[in-house]
Amino acid sequence: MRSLSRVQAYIGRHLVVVAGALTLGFMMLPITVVIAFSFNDPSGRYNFTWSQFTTDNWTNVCGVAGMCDGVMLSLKIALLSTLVATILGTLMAFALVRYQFKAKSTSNVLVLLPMTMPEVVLGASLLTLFVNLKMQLGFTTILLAHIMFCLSFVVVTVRARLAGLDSRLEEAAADLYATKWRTFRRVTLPLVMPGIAAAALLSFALSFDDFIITNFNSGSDVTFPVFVWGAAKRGVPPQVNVIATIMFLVAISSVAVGQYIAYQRRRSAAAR
Amino acid sequence: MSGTLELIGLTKRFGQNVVVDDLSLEIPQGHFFALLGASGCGKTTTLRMLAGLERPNSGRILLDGDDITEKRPFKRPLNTVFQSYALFPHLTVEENVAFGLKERRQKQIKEKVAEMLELVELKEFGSRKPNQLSGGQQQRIALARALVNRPQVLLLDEPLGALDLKLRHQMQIELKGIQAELDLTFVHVTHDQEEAMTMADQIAVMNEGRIVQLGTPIELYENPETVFVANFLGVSNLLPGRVVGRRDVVVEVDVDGQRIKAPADRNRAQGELAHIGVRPEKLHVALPDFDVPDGHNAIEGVIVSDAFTGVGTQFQIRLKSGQEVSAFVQNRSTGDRQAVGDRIQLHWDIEHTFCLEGREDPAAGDEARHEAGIPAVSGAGA
Ligand SMILES: Nc1ncnc2c1ncn2[C@@H]1O[C@H](COP(=O)(O)OP(=O)(O)O)[C@@H](O)[C@H]1O
Ligand SMILES: [Mg+2]
Repeated sequence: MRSLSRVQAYIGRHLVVVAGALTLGFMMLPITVVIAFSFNDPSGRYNFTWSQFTTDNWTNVCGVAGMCDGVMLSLKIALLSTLVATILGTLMAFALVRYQFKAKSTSNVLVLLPMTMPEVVLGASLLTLFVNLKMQLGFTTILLAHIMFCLSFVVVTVRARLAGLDSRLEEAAADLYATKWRTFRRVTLPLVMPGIAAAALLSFALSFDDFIITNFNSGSDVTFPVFVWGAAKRGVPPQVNVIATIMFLVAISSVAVGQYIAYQRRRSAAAR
Repeated sequence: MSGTLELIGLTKRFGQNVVVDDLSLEIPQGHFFALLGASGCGKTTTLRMLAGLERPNSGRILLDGDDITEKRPFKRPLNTVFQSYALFPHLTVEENVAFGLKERRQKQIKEKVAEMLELVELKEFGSRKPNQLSGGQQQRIALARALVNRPQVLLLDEPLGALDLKLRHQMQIELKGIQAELDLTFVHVTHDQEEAMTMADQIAVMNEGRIVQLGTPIELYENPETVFVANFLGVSNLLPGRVVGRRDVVVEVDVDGQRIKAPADRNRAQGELAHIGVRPEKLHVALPDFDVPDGHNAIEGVIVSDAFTGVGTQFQIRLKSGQEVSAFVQNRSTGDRQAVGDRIQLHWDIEHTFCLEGREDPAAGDEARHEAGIPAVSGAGA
């Protein structure tokens, strides 16, 4: 009897931890499968059942025809569209927060439109547009499409950060002899930077991962998601899991490095 | 060293709202100058115009004779301690203090910053971030960040407003000391009349965007020119009356049948109606048959309450008209003391009397004082 109530008390105390661990496990399970199957040596065409451990997939990543070209194309497009969307979106966010103009409230709503529109609709209508403009489908059209849908996310993220910025800090900088440009460099930009960085990461992830819109507008060019889609009909090669695992590791370690730097800063500040 | 500020006809409107109204002032170099007024009277706006953060609709600002009205803020040799401090959260304390020096490409920044942190007694905190400091410490960093630039004029916007009472008193003394040591012009904005009186060489009392009176704390206290100032700075007893005689040196005012005299140079009443004013601590409380000395005013009344505070006694006295006045009597007497219910005679030196315009609202300025957290002692009657 007593031990039962003790167990109950134990569960009561640790319920939050248990629930948290289960939720986390639920989220991590697919990733674990992806990683595990990157070490699988599938017996048939499909990498769906475990047969045998191997590191061949890792040593021979680009052995699959066209896959690494797809990865390179996706990386190139993700980097370029992130760069352009982050710069344009940041400027746009400044305009929307800082300046008064006639179409301000309309613009504030319009930037949300690409986010709320179903991707299929967006992809199809972009295709119509490009065809009517007689544009060659390929790298340029993919890039333009990606910049377009990343832009809304950048604007929304940076705008939130900027709106929370105390304008008195900029006045204080001006009072302390900083010109407009110097105030931007030394006060505004550093304070908005976390928002810009978050926006850039988001853009990169969205672009690298996009399939639907890209599939409409890629012509004969093959990005990584388009490659995986195409391969799925014939059987996904385990190297796809290797690429997925690498992406996951890059993401995880960049977060870890960020956390570590923040922790070090806090500690050194507290120590002094 | 220079730093004489001149404000000429400064006006600032926000839409229809005239916030600063044709304001003219001269602030001499090296003065501790206080701009005193209730919140919302336009103090911050005035300071922001001096700093260049707000453009006046009209009027000019001169610094040592140079017109700086159109100069942009980063070109003005003035620095501000902001109401909310506005410390840069992403920079350390040292970087905050070094900010202005760096912008002007000064030499020996490290030494100057260290020296300034020493002055405000925060040199161990140089590598902290502002959010790791207490309110009082942040206030000092804001002060150091402005002072380190050796501005010709330092603008302070309610710098002590967020501190608790004890810290505020301590910082008042420190600020005053720093100002005297560096011989800088300080323009100090506050709604706290006690703070202004303790610290400032000169006070400009502001109301609704205008200067209502300018003078030293003693001048303002002893010789208020309006009911607003009389009530806002300290407690005043104001007795309504009618001017019955004007002579060279005194005016005579009839207050409920009693003749009260006031020096002619302290008379602000234009017409017949007047308010006779006298501070509670100037009143003497005497027996009804007491022989009032020459050169004193006298009026009869009954004690309705007394509060012994050690250093003295705070009396409330009801006059024949029913109006109550307060008197503060220092604890110097021996033997019998007056008590509640006693008929007494109040008398005071004519020189301590001021005579104000009778058409003014006798409660003007009361509200402003209460807002500043100064307890109400009924001055202008029940
Ligand atoms: N940027 C602004 N836009 C509109 N009204 C303002 C602005 N700044 C101040 N005001 C108004 O001006 C008046 C005076 O403000 P302020 O100078 O801050 O007063 P104080 O510092 O004496 O409390 C207030 O009524 C305030 O609402
Ligand atoms: Mg203010």
